Amino acid sequence: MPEAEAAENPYADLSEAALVELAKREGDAFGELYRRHVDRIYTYIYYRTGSAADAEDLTARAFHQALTHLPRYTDHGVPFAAWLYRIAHNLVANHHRSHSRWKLTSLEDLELSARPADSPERMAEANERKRALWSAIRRQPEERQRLLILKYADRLSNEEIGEQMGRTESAIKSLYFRTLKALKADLEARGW
Amino acid sequence: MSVSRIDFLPSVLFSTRVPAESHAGDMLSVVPYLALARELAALFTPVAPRPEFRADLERTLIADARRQSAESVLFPVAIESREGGERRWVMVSAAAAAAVGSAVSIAGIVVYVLRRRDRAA
Repeated sequence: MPEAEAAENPYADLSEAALVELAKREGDAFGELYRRHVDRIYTYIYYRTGSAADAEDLTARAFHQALTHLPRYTDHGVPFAAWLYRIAHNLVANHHRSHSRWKLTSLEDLELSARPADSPERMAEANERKRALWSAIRRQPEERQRLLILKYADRLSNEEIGEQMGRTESAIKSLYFRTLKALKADLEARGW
Repeated sequence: MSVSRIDFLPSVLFSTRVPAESHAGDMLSVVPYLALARELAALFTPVAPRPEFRADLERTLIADARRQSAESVLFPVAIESREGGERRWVMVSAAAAAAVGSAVSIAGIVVYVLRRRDRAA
């Protein structure tokens, strides 16, 4: 790391465990924890809620909760990110409970696209397929959705996903395979 | 598996951005699901929070974190006693619930014994 950068950010070289312990006593250290994790937590919430506005709201709440509960946080060998994901997951679950209908449309409207050269029928079919796939993903258990977000949106390797989820690499491969299998079966059951 | 299918695999894997360290054996087991994996890769595009949101939240959190740290240094006893108070409250609640549970059980046994005595009489 360049010296100037190290001088600007004295926490950059610290291991996560050391940083967490320091953040319990030093407010500024929590800023480094935030910088290390905010993008992933935001991505996770964005793909679980389908809305950028909700993702911002819940990301802010997740980090405020993490800060409040940090003095009682104990390192059990599981990455700090796993604790943050649990907070984010609980917030998303409460969010879905408090909204009578899931906001399925906003993300889909954002993502739906087809090549302009495609015929209207093909575009419509492609969009229908995307909707069906999103719905099938959202019917999967939380850990499978998280795996897909980490694998595809965050572009993590199986080993890195294993570290984040507190599982071995082979367990992640197995979970990924089961997820694909379940999605395929779900889509086929609905005529796709 | 046909040769053409095997030749097709690397390009598909590249486009689905499956990590490079994956083994050929693992790949073969997911062949029937490659098209689905490709669709998933197209659906989950990387996203990032707005820079203004990111910066605002960082400022707010650091300010709150500094305040929290200062409080814990200035009033450690108050915070400990508050946490201790919460623990005490949980213990008292549990003890009260246990006492009520025991009283109900004893009352049930007494009623049962009295009814049996009445029937016998």
